[in-house]
Amino acid sequence: MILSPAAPPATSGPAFAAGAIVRAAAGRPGGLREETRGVFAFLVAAADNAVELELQEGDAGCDGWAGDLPHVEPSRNDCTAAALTIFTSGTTGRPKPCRHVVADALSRGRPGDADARWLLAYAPFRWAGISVLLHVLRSGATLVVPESVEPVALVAAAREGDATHVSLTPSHFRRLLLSVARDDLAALPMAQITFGGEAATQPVLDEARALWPGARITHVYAASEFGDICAVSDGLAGAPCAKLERPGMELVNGELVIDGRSTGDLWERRGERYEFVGRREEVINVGGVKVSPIDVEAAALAVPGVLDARAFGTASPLLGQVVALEYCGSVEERALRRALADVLPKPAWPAALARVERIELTAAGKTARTTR
Amino acid sequence: MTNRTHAEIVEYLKTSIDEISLGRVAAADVGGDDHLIDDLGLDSLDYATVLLGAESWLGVKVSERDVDWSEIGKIGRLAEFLASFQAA
Repeated sequence: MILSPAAPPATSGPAFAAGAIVRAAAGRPGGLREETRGVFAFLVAAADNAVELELQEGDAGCDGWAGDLPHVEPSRNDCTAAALTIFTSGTTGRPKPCRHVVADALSRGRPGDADARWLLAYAPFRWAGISVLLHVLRSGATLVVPESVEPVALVAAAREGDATHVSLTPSHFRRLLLSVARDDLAALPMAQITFGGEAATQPVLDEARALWPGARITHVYAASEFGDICAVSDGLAGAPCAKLERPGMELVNGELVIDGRSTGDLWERRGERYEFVGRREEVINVGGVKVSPIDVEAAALAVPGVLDARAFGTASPLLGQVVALEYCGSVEERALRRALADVLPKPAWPAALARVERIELTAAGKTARTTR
Repeated sequence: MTNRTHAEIVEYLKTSIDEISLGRVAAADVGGDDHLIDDLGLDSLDYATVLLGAESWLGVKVSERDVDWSEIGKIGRLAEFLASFQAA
């Protein structure tokens, strides 16, 4: 499916009448294309009308679902500024609403290339997906929407839609590497790869560079509550210090605080860059020593034969938590254990190590690191 | 899941210690009455790793409430403790 502001989907109907506030259900299995059409149409209508869309997972209390937006009766008619509300719980916690005024969201970010054909690899009801839709609208580009975000469907859509740009999570990228032949990936004429949703490690950036040597490789740090915070395109993991030392930003006990609001994200200064250490709730406390699951994963991924990995905390009656590591690849557990012992400090050595068929991802395409 | 005998659990623990110590403590050199930390030189993370692996192998779950750490430092006692979690 191809969408563009030049040929937008229908924006007539009760959901697009001035003042309409609509609650739409999101996240229906198999509904990626219809959902994207609905959200895209809403964003197009928002340029001319004060309309508001609340996207929430689950049908309870909803007026309809995103794919049926033209026919959905609004729950209220007193909207005064076009806005989009998404519900996010970050990695854990009760979902909380994050409201974005569309005009403000469209005015942020640099103008893009009108000839770009963006492959959508995120659900359109999460900030990462909405960010892509906004970018397409801002730049007058084209959106290529796959049937689903599974690797084979993504590559098929990229070929059929002549995609040149893509934004995806590093975990999703690793899954592509696992599931799709390298030659097939390298054959896609990609001009821009944008990583977001989670930290882009150096091996991920290097792998993307190797596949598409002519492409611009960018990684974006964003949060649902704040939108896009900074973008880095210098080929290195982490962010130059200047990007996170802007007015309104500070690190409090390692956690980034923006305009007095905690992001829940932990960063550490290493030389002239800040590196993302993990979400506060994902950090593993091994007998009082804090271990970053991202550092453990990076060490594992640097071992030849390891294709994908995820680290998380698991309960230990002796130490409170210990590190667990699941990985995909050809290396034997014993050999991996020895390799990690050479590069990681002792508390970070995985106490549980398991080779798996695939790494579990969250619905947002991020590595699932919830402590078990 | 099949219940393991005390002897089988001891053999598992010896192999696990060999693996976790990266070969520093060979399974063949581990005696049934050895203390994991005092005699074999494992540290608390090694011990926690051996315990976690044994729980997974046996299909049991040990919580902190169940444990008297002073009683399960030796291989044989640890094996008895783990065996007690198996289905009757």
